[in-house]
Amino acid sequence: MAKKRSRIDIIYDMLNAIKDKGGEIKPTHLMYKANLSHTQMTSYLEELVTSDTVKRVTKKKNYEYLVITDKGYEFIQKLSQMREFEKTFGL
Amino acid sequence: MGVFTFSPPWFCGVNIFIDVFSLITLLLIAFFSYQVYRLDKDKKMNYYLSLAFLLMAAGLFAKVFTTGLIFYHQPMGIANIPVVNQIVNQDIQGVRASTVLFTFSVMLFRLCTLIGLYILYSVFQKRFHLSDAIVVLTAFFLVTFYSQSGSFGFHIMAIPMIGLIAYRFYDNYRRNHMGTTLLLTASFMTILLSHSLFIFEGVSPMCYVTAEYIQLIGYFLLLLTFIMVLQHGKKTKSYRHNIRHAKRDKR
Repeated sequence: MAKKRSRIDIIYDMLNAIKDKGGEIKPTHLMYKANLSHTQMTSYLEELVTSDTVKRVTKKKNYEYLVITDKGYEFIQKLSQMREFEKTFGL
Repeated sequence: MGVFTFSPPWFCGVNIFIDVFSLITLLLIAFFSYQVYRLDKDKKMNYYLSLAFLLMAAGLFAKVFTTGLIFYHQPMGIANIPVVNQIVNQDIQGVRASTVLFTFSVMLFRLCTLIGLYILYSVFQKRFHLSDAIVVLTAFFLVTFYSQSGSFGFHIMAIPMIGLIAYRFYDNYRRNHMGTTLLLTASFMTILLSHSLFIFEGVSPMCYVTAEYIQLIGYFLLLLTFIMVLQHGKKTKSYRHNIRHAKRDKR
């Protein structure tokens, strides 16, 4: 059985999903890509927006997009280093 | 407990540099591990890892402080009391650390290192029992405070723990096949070798010198591992906890 994702794992998946989409994504797509329910995504997204790692941008046809910020990229890097460290030490 | 270092006079200073290098390496890992814990407080292992490395660093700090004090006060004659090794009658210059400060520092170095190693061992064994810890800690205290040849007992206690930690890393390498894990195993094996040589430091000063150089190689490998971990992390691979992503990748 797959291990339950921790809070930081979910945030990492969300940020990576945005990054893989070229830095911007529609909220619904993010919800599917990060495998989250709507309630979960709203709660985590609020956290990401508050911490300035992701910002909401309204683009053509009034669609809302989520754009990863420089701080968000730095955070992904930090989380990647953290994972590499844990994998190396077998934690 | 009296003789603290078997360093030949020409090597004094070099050993301090080696210990400072090791100390910095341990502090860097402890600091990073604590940062990881602060990011994700659910992962308590990172906290214990940080604590273990910090304790080992504190032990080395005590050693550096003492050897530094002895070395730099030698010209002034404050602690310059050369002793000839009675066992083999060689011209080994040890420094008799008879003051309370020196004795305390030696104890601190050995105790902190042993406790740090024990925490590290417990983290990688993924089990901790308070009753076991009490027994082990009592043994550490006995070795540190009451052993006549404290250095010998200290290294004998440290060797199996470092060996088991290195084995855990090797076991982990067999599963993840990561170069950094292999390098980490190599670094701990090298540190193990240095501790094995430190046992014979009283026999010949060259054993002490060789052990110190091997320790430097061990900590250099550890630092290299840490730098490589940070470099690989910067490449930001997607580990994809998301099962749907993982399945798609396999196709």
